[in-house]
Formats: sequence, structure tokens, C-alpha cells
Amino acid sequence: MSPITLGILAASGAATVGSYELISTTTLSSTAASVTFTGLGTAAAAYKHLQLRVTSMPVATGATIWVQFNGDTASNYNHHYLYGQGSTVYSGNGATANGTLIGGVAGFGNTIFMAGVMDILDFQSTSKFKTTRTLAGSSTEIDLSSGLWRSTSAITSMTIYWTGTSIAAGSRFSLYGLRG
Amino acid sequence: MALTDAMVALYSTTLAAATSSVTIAGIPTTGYRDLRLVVSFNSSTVGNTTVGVRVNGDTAANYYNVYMLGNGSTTASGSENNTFLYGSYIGAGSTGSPYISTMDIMDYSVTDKHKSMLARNNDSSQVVTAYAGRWANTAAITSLTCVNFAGNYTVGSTFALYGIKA
Repeated sequence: MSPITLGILAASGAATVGSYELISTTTLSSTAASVTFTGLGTAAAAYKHLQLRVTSMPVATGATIWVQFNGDTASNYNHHYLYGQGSTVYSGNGATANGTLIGGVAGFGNTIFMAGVMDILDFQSTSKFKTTRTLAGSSTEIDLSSGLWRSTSAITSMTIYWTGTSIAAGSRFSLYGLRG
Repeated sequence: MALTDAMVALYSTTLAAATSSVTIAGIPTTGYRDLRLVVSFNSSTVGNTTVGVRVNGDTAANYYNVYMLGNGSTTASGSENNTFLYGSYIGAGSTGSPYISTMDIMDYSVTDKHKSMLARNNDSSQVVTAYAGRWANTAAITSLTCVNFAGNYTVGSTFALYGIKA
């Protein structure tokens, strides 16, 4: 059968209000210890859920990448993960102060940008703990993880960081709001 | 607050004829940062074969993949340097039930990075799979070719591409 080639429908989208909207984005021009999205109580007030899209690399090898909420650095987080590195599938869990896990369970290298997409559900709810689900990986590791922030506070800020090292220049962090 | 319609449908089709590959060409390199490819398909033949995606017509071994799967009784992980990005896995006995595959290609339009990919494949009768991959090229992506290495995508298979702004 002959292959089928089809063209693009739209070269660019019209700037209209929709259900999936960009709140904020940043691409680092130099290394940074962390990236924080603030003011979500106002900037993200119209949304039900958030999605964080990340391409990043640690300065030092072997790091994992995490998200903390509202500046909470106490042990109020849980996570579970499933990951593969090309030979075996591993599973594990933790309850740490690090935050909710984006990826790098066995440690990402510092020569390849990893990618991660994290959904933060019901982030404004004041009656629920906050749950996250993430698919992340590079060409050396694939991670599925779920996370929990044991707080009923609405999320007003998010801090993303690599354990024990800085974020490399060129890393990109984009936050989206989903209406519900 | 930036109110921008951030996910825009760029391309959509439903096959009226079986084919072994579908190419989406003319992908804009401005206005969007990521791509999301959503495919729902059936295959004319099956047999432990991967369905993949090639970028900009590149058929060389410039793709690096890692996968993780579960088939109801066992799990497995592997990694390969290959001639395509992994998109879906067709199990040995999986006919009839559609495969649902979603692939996020990050930073596709920038020219200072290799292109990272995350994908999920769902085959309710056989296997669930997650992939991460990299196209080792800094060129902006202008075309994607979905290739069925087992046989043909059947009539009714759907392909949709979305641009995500950042």
C-alpha cells in the first residue's frame, strides 16, 4: 500500500479562551537552583486542574526531579513509582520532604534533557489532599509516578528542583490550566 | 494572566484505505513548543511488533528508546537505538481491539536540543506500555511519519496532531 501524506489544517491557533490554557512558561538562560511558579491563587483561579510540562537536565548526574507546593518543605508528601531502565521494571514508594516526584528514580544523567508531564488534580480544593500523576523519562529511563501532598490548602505556588544539584540552562518549565 | 488557547488541532484524519504509513507534513515551526500525536488504530497483522514514528524522513539509527510494559502476567523493560521512535506495541495475539497511542514530543520547534518523546500505548487485550525516547537531532520537526512495521493500518484508523503553545 502506498504511504499517505497529508497536510496541516491550521498553521497557528487563534488567541481565544479555551479549556486548556497556558498560565506561565520559562526557559532558563543560565543554571538555577529551582524554578517557582507563584501567585496561582490569582493566575490560575479560573481552572480546575493544572498540567506542568518540563524538559530539563540536572547540572550533576544521578539526580531526581521533584515538585513542592506552597513552600512546604516538611515530610508531607507521598509517592509511588514504576520505572524501567532497559532491563528490569522496578516499583517503589516513599514518604519524604522532597515533594511529589516528576522522575529520575534511578537518577537522570546530565547530558540528555528529560521530559515530564505532571497533572495536578483539583489543585484549588480545600477539602482534598492534592494528587499528582506523572509520565517522565529520557532515552535511558521511563517513569510512571503518582504523588500526594497531604494538605487541604489550595495550591498557590509550585517549586521544581533537582536533588543535590542545579537546573541546567536550557531547561523549560510550562504550566497550563484546565477548566472543569 | 496569559489566556491563550494552548492546545490547537493541527491535523486529523480517518483512513478510508489501508496503508502501512501515514505522514504528517508541513508542521509549523513557529507558534508551538510541543506536539501531541494521538492515534487509534488497528493493524492488518500482528506479532510482537512495534509501530513507530519517524521524524523529518530520517530513517537512520538516530533514535534512542526505552520502554516498560506489562501484559497481565509479566513486566519487561528494554532499551534500543533504532531507526524510529517507539509509539505502540502490537502483541502476538492482538487483533480486533483498537490500539490507543498518545505521544508527546517536547520542544519540537527549538533548534538547540535533541527532541524528547514520551508515549503511552494501550491495548486492552494484550499489553500496556510506556515509552521515552529521543531523536538525536537539533533540527526543528517539520514532519512525522507513523509506520506500521507489522502490516497496514486498517480502514477507520485515526491520526490527530495537536500543537501546544508555551
